[in-house]
Amino acid sequence: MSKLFVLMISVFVLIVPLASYALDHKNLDEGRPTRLEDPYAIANGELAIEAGVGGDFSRRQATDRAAFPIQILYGAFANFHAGIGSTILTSPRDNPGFARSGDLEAFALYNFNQETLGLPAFGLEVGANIPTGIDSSGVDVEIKGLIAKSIGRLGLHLNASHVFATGTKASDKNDQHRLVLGSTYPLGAPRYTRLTAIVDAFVTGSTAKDISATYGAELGFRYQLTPRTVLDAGLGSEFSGPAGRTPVFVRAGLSFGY
Amino acid sequence: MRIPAPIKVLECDKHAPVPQFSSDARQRHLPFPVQNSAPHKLKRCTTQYRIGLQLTSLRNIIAVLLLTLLSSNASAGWVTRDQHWVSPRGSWNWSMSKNLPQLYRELNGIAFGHAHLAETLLKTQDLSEVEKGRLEILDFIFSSPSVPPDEEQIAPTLIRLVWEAQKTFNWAHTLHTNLYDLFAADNVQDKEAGYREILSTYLSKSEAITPHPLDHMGKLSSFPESHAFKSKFPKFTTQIWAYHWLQAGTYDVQLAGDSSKQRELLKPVIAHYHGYLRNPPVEWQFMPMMHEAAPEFSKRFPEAAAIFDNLHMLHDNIDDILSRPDLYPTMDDKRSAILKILPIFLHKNHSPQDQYAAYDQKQMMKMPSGSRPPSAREVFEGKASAKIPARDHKAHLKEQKRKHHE
Repeated sequence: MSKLFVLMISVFVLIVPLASYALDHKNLDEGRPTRLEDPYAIANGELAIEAGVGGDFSRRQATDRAAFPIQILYGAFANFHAGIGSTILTSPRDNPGFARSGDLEAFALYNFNQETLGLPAFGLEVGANIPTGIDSSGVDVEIKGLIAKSIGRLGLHLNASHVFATGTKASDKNDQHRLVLGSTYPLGAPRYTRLTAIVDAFVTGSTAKDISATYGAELGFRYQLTPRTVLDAGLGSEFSGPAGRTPVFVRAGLSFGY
Repeated sequence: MRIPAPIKVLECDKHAPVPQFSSDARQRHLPFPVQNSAPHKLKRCTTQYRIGLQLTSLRNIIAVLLLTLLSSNASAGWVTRDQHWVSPRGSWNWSMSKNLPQLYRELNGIAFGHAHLAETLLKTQDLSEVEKGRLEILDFIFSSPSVPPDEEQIAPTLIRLVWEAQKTFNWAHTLHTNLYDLFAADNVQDKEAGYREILSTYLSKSEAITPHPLDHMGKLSSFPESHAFKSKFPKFTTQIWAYHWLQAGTYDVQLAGDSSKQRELLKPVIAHYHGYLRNPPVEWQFMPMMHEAAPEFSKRFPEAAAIFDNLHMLHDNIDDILSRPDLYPTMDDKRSAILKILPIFLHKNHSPQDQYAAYDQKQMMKMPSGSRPPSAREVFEGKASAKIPARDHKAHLKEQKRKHHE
């Protein structure tokens, strides 16, 4: 675990100097630092890069591993962004789920509306996982509905998605559901709005037949490091589910735009 | 993947603002068009993934989305977010924060000031509480914030009440920033061309404020709520006007030389502005105009000057509405009142025949008698005296707070 930790820190330190050239964007995106997303697209015309490091620890049926995700997003139209990304994993051959280390992800999010006093904000995201990674096969498509409603400064979020997989083994399912319920709060607001706390609980359906779903929770923060950069970090646990779940995971990263 | 087209069920209609937001119209327009159109569009979206996909779960997701939508109170209206990144892109982008860091920090403070005021007025009209809000703003401004505050977290109620107004402010403030960047960029020689490009991009969006001079002192000051904010909260009003004076006067500072010269000249101008913050110029009877604080800029760039005068008037009009809960007791009332005046400012082609002709500036504006703000040039040339001598901001705030508590 200590070697893995040193590797994660090293990569993170290498990423940090880029921050001085970056711009801020405030949206919650999957993996930055938790899986919770908000329904808002990045601004029209914004080009953002999100990169980070992560670690999965104490896995019962596999070794600890590090993850290095990177995404590029572009606000192509008003209320619409599209992007591509990939995640590189150490120990790439013991990955539960459909996605594999080195797969290319392509995604697009459309935001229908701004939240008002009465109406939540709605968004729809479509993603495709293209099997460019190690031991990967078949294109997986995820369709995700996103809703956000606030009470004062407390943001409440619901993400519900379904993954449709192809190229699966006979022992695997060809679909998976995912549900995330979470909340955000700007610590110190109104005077101080640079730090947002995030907490969520999630359930992820199994990708193998006759295996139960995984339940977990995460918490993290997003901190506006400079006018152009957001730093994030979080940790979580898959506390209930199959033996192959990850009891402890951590994520940290930076988001910046041009 | 084809993404469904934006569902713009209700937006600020520039041509028929009042009936658009009457309760009957609201019931007719919201949220039923969404109910009718969204499922069709989303279903069409799914057809492209038909092969090998299971649609049942997708339908469940859509059903959850729509049920939540339909069960929501639609009275606050459906509005698209439409956020724009810094645009147009140019070699001048980010020059202000790099070359004029002190100005950048002052403007970050001003962003907090506008948002916190509106949220405060939505919560209370109590003189003591509003004064407390004013002092909180001063405290924030004098903290010299290095990062722009998140206005959506400072004023969550106002943002969700009238996003239409907020996106108008956001876009106009982006214009301000773009122009400050342009004039702070030593590498850009042809400022006129940059200005034209920035202005054209600004005006291309529906939330752009008209460059047509409007009748600020006449028609736009003749609403039932007009002058309410100044009458009830004169210190707060003139504190806001001081922000606008700095925002305006900065342009004439920028026209005086390169970024190095600008940094030098900004020092007395910002000191003068701080004097206004410490001792708001309550003797001013009307907001500072661009041609007063920045006469040279107003002459050379009249469209931008008119936009900023209109922007500042819109701030005053909205603050007046928020200061009259007797006239506008509910959130719906406030929203309707704001959306009644907003189209006047967004209407681009004011002409003698159109519906907003009455709001056009008919003749050269006659400023009210009495004390008026100096130009930035008068300040940096030492021809205008500071309100009070510069002193320690923290000590001053402490004194103000002590007086407030007494």
